[in-house]
Amino acid sequence: MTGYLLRRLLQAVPLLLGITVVVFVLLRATPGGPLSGYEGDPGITAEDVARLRQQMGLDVPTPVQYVRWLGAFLRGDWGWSLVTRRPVLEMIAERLPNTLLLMSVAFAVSLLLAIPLAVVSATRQYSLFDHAATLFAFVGNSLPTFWIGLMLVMIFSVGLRWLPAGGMYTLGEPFSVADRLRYLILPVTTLALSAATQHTRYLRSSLLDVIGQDYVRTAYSKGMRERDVVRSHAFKNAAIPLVTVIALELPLLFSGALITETIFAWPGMGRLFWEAAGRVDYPVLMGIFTVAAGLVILFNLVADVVYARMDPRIAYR
Amino acid sequence: MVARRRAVLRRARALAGAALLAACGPQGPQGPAGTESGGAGQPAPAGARPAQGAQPAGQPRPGGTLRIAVYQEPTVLNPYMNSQTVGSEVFDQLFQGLILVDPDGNYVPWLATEVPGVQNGGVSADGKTVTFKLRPGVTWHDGKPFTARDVVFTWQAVMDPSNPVTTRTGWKDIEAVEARDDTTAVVRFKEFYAPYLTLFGRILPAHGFGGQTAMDKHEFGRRPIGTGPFKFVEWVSGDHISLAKHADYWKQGQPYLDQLIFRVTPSREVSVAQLKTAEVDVVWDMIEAQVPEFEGHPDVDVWAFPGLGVERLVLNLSAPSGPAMGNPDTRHPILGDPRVREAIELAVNKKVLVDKLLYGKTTVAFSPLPTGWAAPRLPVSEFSPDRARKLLDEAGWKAGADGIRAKDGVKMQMAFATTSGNQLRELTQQVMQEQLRAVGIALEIKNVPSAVLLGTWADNSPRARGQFDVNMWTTNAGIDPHSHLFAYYHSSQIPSEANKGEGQNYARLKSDVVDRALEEGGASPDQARRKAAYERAIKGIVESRAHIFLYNRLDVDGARKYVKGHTNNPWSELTWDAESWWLAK
Repeated sequence: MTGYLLRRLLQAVPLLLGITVVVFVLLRATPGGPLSGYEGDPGITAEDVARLRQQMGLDVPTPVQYVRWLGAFLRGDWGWSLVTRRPVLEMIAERLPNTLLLMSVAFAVSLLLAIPLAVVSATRQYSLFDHAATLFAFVGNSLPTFWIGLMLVMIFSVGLRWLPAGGMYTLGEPFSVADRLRYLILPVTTLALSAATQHTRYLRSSLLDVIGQDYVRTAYSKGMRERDVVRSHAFKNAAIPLVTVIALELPLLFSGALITETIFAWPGMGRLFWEAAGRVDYPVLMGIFTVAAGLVILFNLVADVVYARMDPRIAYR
Repeated sequence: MVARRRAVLRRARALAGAALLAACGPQGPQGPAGTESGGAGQPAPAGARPAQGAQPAGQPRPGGTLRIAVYQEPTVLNPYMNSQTVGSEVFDQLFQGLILVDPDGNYVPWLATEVPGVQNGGVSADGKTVTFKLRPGVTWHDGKPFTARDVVFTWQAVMDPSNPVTTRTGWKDIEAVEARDDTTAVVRFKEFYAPYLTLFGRILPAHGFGGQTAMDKHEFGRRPIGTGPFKFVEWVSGDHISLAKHADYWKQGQPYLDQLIFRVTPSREVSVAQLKTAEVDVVWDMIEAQVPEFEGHPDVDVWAFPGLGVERLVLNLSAPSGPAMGNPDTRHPILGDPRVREAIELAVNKKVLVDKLLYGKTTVAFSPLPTGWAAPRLPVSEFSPDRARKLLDEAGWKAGADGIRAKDGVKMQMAFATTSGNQLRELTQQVMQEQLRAVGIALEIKNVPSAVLLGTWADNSPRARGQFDVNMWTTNAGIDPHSHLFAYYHSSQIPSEANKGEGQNYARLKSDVVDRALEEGGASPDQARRKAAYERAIKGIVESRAHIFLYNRLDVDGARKYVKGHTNNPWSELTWDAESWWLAK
């Protein structure tokens, strides 16, 4: 197992490098560029643009720019944003806690919703509850996030005035958990709703598979209560596909949720990325892409390891 | 990536340096508000400027916190390096310049005590030496006194080669800036620079950068110091920027508010929802379509007024295709004839556009420069389909069986392009399509994304290359119209292979009268002579119909009714007078 882990980690290095090359080249191949907005403005001359290009280090060939970026990155210098003139690392670091808070709460809520829904649905297949849960999942999955978010604002902020429409906390008031929770409710609901509906579907169908298997029937015939059968026999095996889904979703805890963050004015990573993309801010984009790619690789590995733990039939050499 | 609207348009102080340029800002998922930039700020028709929200509610009441929703975030709080329009709203509170532009488009003293001119001896006869008398007793937010050395420093900082300032236009024409004494700054230009009053739009503190002029990557950009009515308190990225009253502000008793908070709310739908629930007090830069929503609202006022941007048709006078494409010496088969262009203007009912599509809240356009010190008063074009038909008949265009005119086998059918996805523009197009159809001209709507429509020569943009018939977009001329008018209408500014696509004379106007008048306007330090020159230039431009000016774009902001003391200023930002705002609640 240790050998396997080491091998996978070593394989990840060239993979990650390859990703950074591709991203770096693609970003620069995109038409436009960080200075395109200045061209065509009578107030800013071609001379100004040329000067800025040189000051930003964009006047050298792309391979040279890449090597410079990589060299600095390996030394822990993630570069400076072209527009805010701040260190990229600092910009990511100040957004990350906000995103982690929002995404992890939403994630937890979605699982708390999805697991009981799926279990009841699967054990009472074709019951009224199952049909209702299926409908809920279908609707929740079909509605776009921006629509759900705006509807929640319309109803709970503008209509009922129960909850704030946007932001992270009440400005000018000291920190309190209650205040923070009030601001979390709507964005978390928006995110958890669509995530829960997907998780429910995965778990329900894999539970149904498992419940039909012989060893589950055996457990029942031994006279075990349904609750115990599901808990100690069926659920563990049924959860394996869900683990894959969840492991692949975990990098989202880092990269955030653009639309929800935008609607609820949540200062997270999704918006940082979107703003950087709009301004073609190469260093910020590279920083976010690299971390996100690294996390995807890492959590794939984590998923594989968790498999082996959950299912002894899977072994890695 | 072009264009954010308004503030770009509003470049009132023409802050040559502050360059609001919206330039490369991100667009919210809702898309851009949807117009064009292009130039520096321009004027608004006079007379539409009541003090907003001000039922004479008595004396201003000091105190309170005002929250203003903005859908953008400044990139850096250094006015010479920021690239987001919203930056100016924050800079207005933190920084001040030497000269301000009042709501009528006149220069008024700000940190200077008078506007230097040839008459008062502030400007030398050749226009190359400008002397600014500075206001005494002004202090920076950290308590240090403001002096002429800060003016010197501002120029040096803009010119420091290591600083990534957005533009040095005008600044690089300065030979030297001298602090003659604490309250006298003398600016000596190498060359005469006509818009000299628009420089020094924001003065930076000489002591703010540790005695250096290098500003790049400096912490000042996150914790600025200025002379403005509010001082910097806190900036939480992506969330808010909060400012507090500058206790030693040079205007006695002002500002009234204790705190001013810019709340970053990227979704415009949500900022409007927050205005309804009073989670914010003011919303910056709404779109026209949001106006009816607040008509008669008990708690919210919409501050809508004609802004600086002039929505116009840009007609291509040169060949729109073939080897001579964009060459001003080959005439457009249809638009090359001035009678046809005049007929188009006569056939367009601009009043209907304003009344039906802009809720009657703006004004019909008549000039690239509707107001301001240099703006001539010109009549609004006539709406007369009959005269349009007569002109077209005279020009030899005869109606065919389908009602569309033709001449020598050429059908009077043209492509009509604007930025796609902008509802107001699409409606405008449909209305105009019908109006022109009524006189026998067929327009075919062929919209493209704004990055294409408003692109540059290097991007192979159709407007730069001359590959279009009729385009529609907005731009504005700025408080000193020189650079705008010159770039858009002087014959040397027609983009071509020879000049590597420099210049914005996309219509390919070539007029000796306009050329000479524009050259004269840029050469004299005497404002009265310049005004006369621009009047001649603008008359020539309007009569050429290279551009047909449709309507003045609306500036729209929203505020709770308890926000008092604001006066609309199309030349400046929404919060230009926040020092006078107060809360009646």
